[in-house]
Amino acid sequence: MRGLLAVLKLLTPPGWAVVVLVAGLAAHDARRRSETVLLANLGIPEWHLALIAALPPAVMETLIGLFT
Amino acid sequence: MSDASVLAADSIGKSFGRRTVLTAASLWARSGRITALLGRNGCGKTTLLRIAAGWLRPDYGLVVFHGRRFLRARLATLARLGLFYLPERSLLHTTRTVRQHLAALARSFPGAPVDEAVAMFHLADLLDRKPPTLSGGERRRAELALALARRPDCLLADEPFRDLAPHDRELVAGSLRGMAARGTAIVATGHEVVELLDVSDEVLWMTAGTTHPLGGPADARANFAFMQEYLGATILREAWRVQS
Repeated sequence: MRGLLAVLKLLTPPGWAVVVLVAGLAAHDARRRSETVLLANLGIPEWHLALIAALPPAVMETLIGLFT
Repeated sequence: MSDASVLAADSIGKSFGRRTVLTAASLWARSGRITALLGRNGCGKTTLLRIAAGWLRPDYGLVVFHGRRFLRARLATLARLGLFYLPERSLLHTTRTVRQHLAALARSFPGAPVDEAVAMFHLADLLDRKPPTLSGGERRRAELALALARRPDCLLADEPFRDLAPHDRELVAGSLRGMAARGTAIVATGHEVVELLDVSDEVLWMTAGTTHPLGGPADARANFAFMQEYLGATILREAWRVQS
């Protein structure tokens, strides 16, 4: 655990962005919502949905607006 | 697995933690036919449907759609190939109107018969309303209109009759028959046994983590184990009473 914390302390902002993105993608299955079911039914690619699911609701709302 | 299947989910297994939901469940959707997937609450109907739709990853098993085999199917991919998945809970986005939903579908799939779907489900007065202002039945009708307008090759409908008044159930049953008549392969779940058995061509009974094809609705009604374990003794007595 200490080793992991030490590594996280060394991360630069782009590194943090990667960590957040990976965590968001990993959480994708658990965070699937009705909005993303709708978009998937429209054929929107999976990685778009993963990004949407990883984003805060306000940002996601804007993106949903772009698609619908 | 039948060669005539538009979609097949074969030998699917799925566990959530220590709880095994599916052991070797299979599902077929055949062109122009309606399959009713029936089983008790919590038996795994929704899980199997989600896996077949590419919305949930199985532990093992295979999904085949239009002859293409997927070890890990994805809904967006299957949707582009002609699948529509109607989930158990709301499909609609809360801040968009019914009209915007239909417009999005028409943009993604040009030529979608949106006007026909609006007329079929009597949505003209609801087009500018957002889902939170609709009743459960109105929402379900709007969701089914999306499915109808998509004109999918295969429709996986999780509880299509949920929240619907008897008159609207007839409407939905008629639209499902209409879609099947155009060649759509349909799998529908739910506990509205009367409607589902009336509308279906085949019955798939799900119990103990697996599926049992029972044949047509008449065969299902004659299957004592299905009657006893799923429909229950009260319904069974009622059926005997009506027959006598």
